Amino acid sequence: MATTVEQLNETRAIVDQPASHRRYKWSVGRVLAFMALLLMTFLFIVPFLWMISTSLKDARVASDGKWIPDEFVWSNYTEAFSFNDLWGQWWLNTIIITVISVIGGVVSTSLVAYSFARLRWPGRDTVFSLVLATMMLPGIVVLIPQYILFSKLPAFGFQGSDNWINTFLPLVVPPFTGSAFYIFLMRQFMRGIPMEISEAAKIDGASELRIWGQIVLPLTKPAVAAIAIFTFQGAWEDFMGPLLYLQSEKLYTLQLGLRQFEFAAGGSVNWAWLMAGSLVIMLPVLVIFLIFQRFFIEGVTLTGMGGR
Amino acid sequence: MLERFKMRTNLLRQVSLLALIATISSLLLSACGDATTAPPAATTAASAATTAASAATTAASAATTAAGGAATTAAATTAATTAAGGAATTAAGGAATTAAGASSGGVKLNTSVSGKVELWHFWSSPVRRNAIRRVVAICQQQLPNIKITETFKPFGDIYTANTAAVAAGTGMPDVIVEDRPQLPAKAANNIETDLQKYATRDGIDGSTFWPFTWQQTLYKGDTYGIPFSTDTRMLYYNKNAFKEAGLDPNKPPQTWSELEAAAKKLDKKNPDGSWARLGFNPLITGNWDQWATVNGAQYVTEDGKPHANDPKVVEAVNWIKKWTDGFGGYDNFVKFRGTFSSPPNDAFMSGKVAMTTDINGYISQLNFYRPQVKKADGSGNENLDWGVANLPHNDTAPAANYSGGFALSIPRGSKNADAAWEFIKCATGVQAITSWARDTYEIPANIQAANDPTLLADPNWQLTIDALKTTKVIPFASQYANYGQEVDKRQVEAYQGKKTAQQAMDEAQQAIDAEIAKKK
Repeated sequence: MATTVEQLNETRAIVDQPASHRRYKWSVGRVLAFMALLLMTFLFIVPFLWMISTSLKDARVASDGKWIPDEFVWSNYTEAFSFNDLWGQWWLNTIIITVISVIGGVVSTSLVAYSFARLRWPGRDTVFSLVLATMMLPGIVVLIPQYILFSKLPAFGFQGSDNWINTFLPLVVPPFTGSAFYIFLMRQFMRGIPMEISEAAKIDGASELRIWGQIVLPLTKPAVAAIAIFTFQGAWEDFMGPLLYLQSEKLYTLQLGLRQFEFAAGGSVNWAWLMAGSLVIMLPVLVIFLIFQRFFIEGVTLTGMGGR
Repeated sequence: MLERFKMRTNLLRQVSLLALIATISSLLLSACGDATTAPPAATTAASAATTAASAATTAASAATTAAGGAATTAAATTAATTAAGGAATTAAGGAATTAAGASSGGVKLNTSVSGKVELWHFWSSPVRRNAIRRVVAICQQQLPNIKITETFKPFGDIYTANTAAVAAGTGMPDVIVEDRPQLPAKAANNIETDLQKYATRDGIDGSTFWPFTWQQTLYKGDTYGIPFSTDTRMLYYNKNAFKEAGLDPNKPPQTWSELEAAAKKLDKKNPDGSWARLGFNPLITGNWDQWATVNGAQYVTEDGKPHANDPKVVEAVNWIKKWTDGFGGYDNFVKFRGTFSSPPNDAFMSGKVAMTTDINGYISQLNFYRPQVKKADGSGNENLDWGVANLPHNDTAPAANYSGGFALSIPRGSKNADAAWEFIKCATGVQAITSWARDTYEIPANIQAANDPTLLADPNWQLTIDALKTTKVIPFASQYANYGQEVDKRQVEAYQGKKTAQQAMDEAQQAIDAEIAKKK
């Protein structure tokens, strides 16, 4: 059947409409999909809502099972953060550790992955397998050996310590040595970028470091964003590392600080303060995610080699 | 060309961004460097301020408890009471124990020892944090050549951090607050310092402490920690429910048969057969080990061997089964118990269970939450009127109780053990521990401090002290430390009626014996 002018016009009319005015086509499958998604969203948001609700209750009725507090106790937030005069220091410590970890994680992972993905050197694949093999070691197994190792490394009086114990070093230096999983992730991503780009740059006289910094790194933005988010989250939420390595309270991080509400309600957990504190401490993770998720979407358009 | 230009600006942007991040991080780093390396002065100033503040509060608490706030008055009282012979017997003794002195409850401190002492504890609540700061301030005053710092570590994880540090041989504290029942196991794992040579040198033995607290610190006859505070189990009962059921609210049950009679009267069912109120069940908060101990079972012998099929253990298991049967079966009981959470939604504070057992510290929780229960006629709520009593005992056995608590230990490898020992002597001494007890309502392990007149002014305190006199502890099972899990698994089969108590405990014993044989 030949397409009539009317039909064409009709199609054009639909296409020309702004996206928000376009009619959404509902089908049974779509409705089911929406319901499933809504259910999942609900499952994920319930604990979060529960947190908000508990954070606004009187500590004495914090676990009464009600969704709406009888009385909104906003002072939980101020009380939780005036509970200890070290909170300010703990925020600063956590930010320092996290920022350095993220920079270290992104730079080292990207460099190592570049070498694995885009350079040829003897033994490359063997070394790559070795790197992957480190993923098989459970963290708990290396806990004490790692502690002993760090206790033997000199810190030359950094943060008033002779060795790495009771300094930020065991927390901020390891990210600079890369992480096997992120290296793997990044390597796979980089292999997807056509070699022709690198070759073209090489013909123009660019060094490998320059190709990495100027061409490959910008093209791997989505992966970098993912790794940055994961590293950020990992460092921000780390509990065991700070617990073991930070021994003076002025070096503590927020996660250690949260544990002080454990016996704050006449010998049992003060849930209201704990939830208020947790909520505020969680916000940066949320904000960082929202900022970086833009790069995920951007990434889809970037990797294309249109017109090749 | 345009592309290249774009690329260059992009690079510029990235470089400048990186530079910005680098600048910020270096700034932050230098800030943290400042905050950590420069501050000896600042921190000292701050800690001096806190010490001064706690000293002030100590003085204030002295003022509120008895005589006057002025140190001279208190010191004069000390002299007076010492002359009268024995501070505890004098009415004014309350002030005497808070006054500063060179000796702490008969224990001589060696003030010439110098060094740094770092104390790790897990007391972060406002009450306990202030209480431990006061203890540190008192000892700082008595030991001027020792610099004492106290650090909070989260409960449970404090021991992970300590174990890692001891294994590495560096970074451990000089004094750590230990969970006393766990102490022999820690000693066996070579985590703590043997304190016996210090104790012998300074003449410290079990005589000044509740006997069971001292016993819990021993491993192979040597002490590995000095008892600090202690607890004991009490019976808590709902006086509103007692009145409603026609029981005398001032006459709590004292024996198992009285307990059963009272519970039967307190039981109340809804028309649909569910429980409106349960009188009592030994498993609401207790376990077989609590009731076996109350029943007088010595289920671990001095050689460290567990005896799960001890007749008194079997008797206790049978007794518990009687209660779960009366409820309507063990499985139903577990479902019922699962509906409760932490205070104030636990079984007792919610009013759903009229009698329960808990540590004496539960009193402070009741004071904190001031729970409300439904009125008998169903018209609104009223305050829960609660009472405390010693644990009911088996009619055929003497009164007995069951306990845990804390001790101060020196982790193995501490570089300041001598100074740490002086601090431990002070902190477990009469003056410091009395201050701790006044703040926290925890019972001092030191007998003289526990009988402090200002503490005894509270009638509930006398009850807990009485309970301590019958408190027993089970020796450390050095042959199989985790024997409890073998009994835990099999007791359930007895409650469910799948096996008799005797069969279940015999099987537990076989498993224990097999495990011990494996190690040999």
